[in-house]
Amino acid sequence: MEPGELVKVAQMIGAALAIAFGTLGPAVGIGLLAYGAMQSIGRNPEAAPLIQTNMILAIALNEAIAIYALVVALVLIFVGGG
Amino acid sequence: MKNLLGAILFFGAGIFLCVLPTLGLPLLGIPVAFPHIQLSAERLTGQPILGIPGFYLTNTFTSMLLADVVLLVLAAVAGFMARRRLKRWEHNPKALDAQDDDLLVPKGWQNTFEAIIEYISGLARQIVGAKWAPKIFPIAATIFLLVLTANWMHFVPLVDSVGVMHCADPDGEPPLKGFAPVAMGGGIYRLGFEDSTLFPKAEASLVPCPGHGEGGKEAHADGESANTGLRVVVTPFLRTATTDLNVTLALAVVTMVTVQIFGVMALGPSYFFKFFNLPALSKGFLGWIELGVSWLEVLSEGLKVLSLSLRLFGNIFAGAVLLLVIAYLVPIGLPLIFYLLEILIGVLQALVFMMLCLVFTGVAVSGHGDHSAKHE
Repeated sequence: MEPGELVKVAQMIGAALAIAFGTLGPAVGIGLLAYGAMQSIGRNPEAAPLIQTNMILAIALNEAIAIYALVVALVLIFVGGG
Repeated sequence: MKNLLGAILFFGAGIFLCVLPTLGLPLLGIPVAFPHIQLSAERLTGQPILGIPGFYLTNTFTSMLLADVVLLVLAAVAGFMARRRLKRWEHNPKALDAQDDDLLVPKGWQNTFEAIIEYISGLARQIVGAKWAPKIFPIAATIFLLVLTANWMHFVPLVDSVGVMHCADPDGEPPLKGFAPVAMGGGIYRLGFEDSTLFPKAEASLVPCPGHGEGGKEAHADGESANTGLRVVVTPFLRTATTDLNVTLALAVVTMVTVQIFGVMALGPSYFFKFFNLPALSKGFLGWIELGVSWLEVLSEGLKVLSLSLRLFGNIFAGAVLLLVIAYLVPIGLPLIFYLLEILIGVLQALVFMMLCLVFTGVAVSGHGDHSAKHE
């Protein structure tokens, strides 16, 4: 295997690892958020619109962390390091 | 039991139809090439605009202009219709329209826009408060509508697919990413999706590549892959604007600068005590620590810009790549589901961008000092 190919393989594995481990945390976070929001809607259905707005906002903030990992993976694949 | 059989037949036929092209096309001797994907926006012109170095006309810029035009036309049409209806009502409050409805009840385009505007203004009032909501509302609504239109651009036919054909990056390492051009007549070419490394017949229809014909000849002389220098890619005239980091970064910078301006408008010069907490020095030693901590706020504003821009860019670019890859893997049926997903993501990201703008404004105008600890 040539050195260039090795770099390519390393980029691909790096991208896969970045997105795999980068999404673990946000996945748990979004799950917890939705759990909390569902429970509160169940207890107090009138507050549903307010809870929904805040839940979407918090999910977006949470998801941003996964998006960082995604951007790193995309840069590794399409721009490359060398 | 009969229902179960029907369901199995239905899904079986669906899966068969979905998988057929993936397996069938290669079996028929037509290997399908993977689409060309580029992270940065493609340049449409060879020379920089106005001779400014590094300032090229990119296809995301044209797409953004188109989004602006579409939005302006829609808003003008809706506004014109609303005004006409209102004038008729002023003329005669008891008049009815063609469908015998009250003139004050909005319909059609007017109704659509009124619903959107009402939702955004309600959200602004809820997050920012009644005092500042009317002032931030135009900016927030503009951000939402512009980002939404830009995000949805990749569902418009011919976007991302019609453009100028040019040679694949000649400096890249072989094998070059690109396709063999196939003539369709009338000076129009299409990309030969039959991957010519696997399918040598496509070579016959190759046209010379003017950019680096020499390189192609050399490759021929070397006896390497005959079409190393004859691979072309398409630079689309239009590419979804928010798949360019420059666009989203500019939007995020504008948003955060606006937030600072609103902070100064609401609190005067004392807004900057958020970043340099000088009043805290009166507390003695702990005040110095508070001063140091307040410097972190500067960093936090910068990170907000980064996070806003990367979130939008990452979501929409990943969506565009996802649509391409799914259309490549399973061309029939399955892409529809992902198109639905992308429509939802387009709305959600526009909504989130606008909501974060509102939330940051709300924090900036609500003051700080002793009671800010409660908010944060």
